[in-house]
Amino acid sequence: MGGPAVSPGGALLRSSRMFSIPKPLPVPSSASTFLGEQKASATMTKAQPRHQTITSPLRSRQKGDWGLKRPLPLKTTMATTTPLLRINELDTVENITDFHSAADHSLSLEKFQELRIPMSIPRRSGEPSSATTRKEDNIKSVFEEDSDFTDIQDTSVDHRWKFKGPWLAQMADGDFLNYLNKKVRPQRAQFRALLRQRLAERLTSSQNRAAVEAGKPTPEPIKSEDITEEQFADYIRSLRSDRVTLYALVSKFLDLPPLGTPVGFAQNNLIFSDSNLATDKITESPYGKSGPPPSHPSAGIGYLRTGAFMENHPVYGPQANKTPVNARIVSPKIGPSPAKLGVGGFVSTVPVGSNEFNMRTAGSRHRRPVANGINNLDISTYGGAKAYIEPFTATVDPEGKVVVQVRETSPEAQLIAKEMRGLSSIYNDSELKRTIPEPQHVDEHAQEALHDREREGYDDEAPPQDSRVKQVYDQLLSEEQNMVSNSSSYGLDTEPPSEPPSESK
Amino acid sequence: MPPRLSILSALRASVESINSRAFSSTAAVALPPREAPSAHPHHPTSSQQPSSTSSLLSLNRPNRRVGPKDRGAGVSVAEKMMLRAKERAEADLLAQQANQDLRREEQLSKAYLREMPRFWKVGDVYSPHDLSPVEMQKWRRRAERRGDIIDALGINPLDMYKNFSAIAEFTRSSGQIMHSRQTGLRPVNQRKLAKMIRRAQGMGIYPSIHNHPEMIRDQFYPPGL
Repeated sequence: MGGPAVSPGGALLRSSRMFSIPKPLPVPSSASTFLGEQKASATMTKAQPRHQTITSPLRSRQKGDWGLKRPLPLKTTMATTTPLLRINELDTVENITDFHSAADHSLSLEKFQELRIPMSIPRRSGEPSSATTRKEDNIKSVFEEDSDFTDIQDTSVDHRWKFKGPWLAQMADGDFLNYLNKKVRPQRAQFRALLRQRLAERLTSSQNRAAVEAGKPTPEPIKSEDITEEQFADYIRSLRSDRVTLYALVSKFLDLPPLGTPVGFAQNNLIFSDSNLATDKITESPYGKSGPPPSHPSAGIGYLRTGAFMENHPVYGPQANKTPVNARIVSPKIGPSPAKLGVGGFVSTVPVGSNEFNMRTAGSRHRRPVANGINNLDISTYGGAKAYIEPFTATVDPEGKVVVQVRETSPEAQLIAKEMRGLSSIYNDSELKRTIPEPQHVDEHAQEALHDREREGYDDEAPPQDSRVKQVYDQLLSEEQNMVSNSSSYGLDTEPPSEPPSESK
Repeated sequence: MPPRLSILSALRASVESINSRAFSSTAAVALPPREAPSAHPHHPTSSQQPSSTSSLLSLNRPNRRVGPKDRGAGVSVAEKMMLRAKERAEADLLAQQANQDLRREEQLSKAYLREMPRFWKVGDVYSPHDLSPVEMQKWRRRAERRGDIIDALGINPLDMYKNFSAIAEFTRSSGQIMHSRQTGLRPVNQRKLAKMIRRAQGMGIYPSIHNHPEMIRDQFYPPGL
């Protein structure tokens, strides 16, 4: 908008795709990069996209024109149904443009947005996590005013996700030692000065209080230079025994992300802490236990604020459950690790609690059969085992991965979802089979009606006899037609229900 | 005696029905796919046991049989015992078959999982390509170390001379120290590590021509024997 004026050629260059492709994002640092992950594939789909996806209209694509320095080969860019590319390098020493298909992340984004789930901040550790409490009661969107925080420079806000210091709990030992030696040690003098100032303030305030109580005029405020070494050493000793205050001071000084609250921390905080400094961020931040995410907690993948909406089925009406998602069971239970589900291309855990994905110990009475592919790999189903689940929210973990939270869905919702795919049939719009109590009697009526019609001379243009009999039956049984399962009662039939001959003629 | 004969025939019929009960000896492989389209998903399976309603409805029928009263009339104790033993044997056989099926399925599953070596973690993203055999094959290989693990862990290699699993990480199965290309260590750490391994081998606490005996123990004394 208000940038410096550039020459027309410069403006053209700047707006060209060649220059407007942003630099790839850095890989989020994680402890598992080379400590945990011993096996990996270089060509796997990464958990986060780093490059911008570009596409091109068909006419341009046919010429290989992607708005880049040189045309891209048609053999690869035309033989795909997903013309989405990421440019690894615009120009290499071999004089080629290094590109790759970006269909993986682009379609994952599309699939995620089809799930229609809100991004939420991770639940705090203190909250109940049992299956009995409905989880959506605790869901808090990342776009709520008090936690949606985008000004990185502003360090005064609670519920921040961005901090200047590292998250100590995630660091490897070597990195931690490095941090201590390179970053923390040089700031010793500064921190001591801060402590001196703090001690001076404390002494001044206590001195003033004593003076007020004694009815004397307020003495001169104590400066930090006046504090003796002995006083300062005593103060440091008292701080060392007061972990709450010291931790609050240190984490504020270094701007560290909060760590998990230790047991009894809150009580100590109330009783022993010399100020309410400690209550600032330690107890309040939602990222205390799980760690702050490397990006905004929405990860830019979804902007829904809530999932609290009700779906409406055109025939069955409002639905208690959302349309369930057919999740792939990507991995069965292996040893102690539970089975993994693939929900729209995002790997997640099985729903918590006693359900068809969790084998409970024997003895429970309400035991349900375990779903296919949970205990063992399902090798009989074509395409692998799948199961219907209901995703309800997603969070971003400290490694920047999107973790979809799922719960089990109701059998009715599954049935309706299957019906949508033509795998089951529950909706009955055919003629109801009716048992007629006195067949002779009805036959007589039908015969009479037919005879009447023949006598009246409708013979030539009349429909065949079967449909006439049907019409007569309809007329006779018009009371019974208002049944729930018949679509004609909802007016959903393509044709209006057949009318008696007397009205139609 | 006519009544006795009829009871015998009824008994034989019941025994035959037990014998001819179909039990499945096939694994889940032979079962139809999970989401096979079926016309009547809620069609009730034909039950052998008559419901309470149907038994009430057939109260008036002339040839209605009431199980225990009719059956216990003339069967001898020996026949009852035979019947019970036979039933128990059948049940045992069924349980055995089911157990065998389960174990076979487990083995088959393990064999296939060996071809899918990727360990999925929560939050991973996959596309169809990631499930292909080509991609799965890549997860078999050990990734090259890109960082210096000794720096990352903040340990002193010279102190690790009694950590045999650490030494095994940096030596071949025949005792050679691995090159820094494979270990991925920076020169300082590689020198320290090599010195530590040479010391351990020189002290005689780690073999210089093969893996540590504790690590190859299972080859000579398989577990479970």
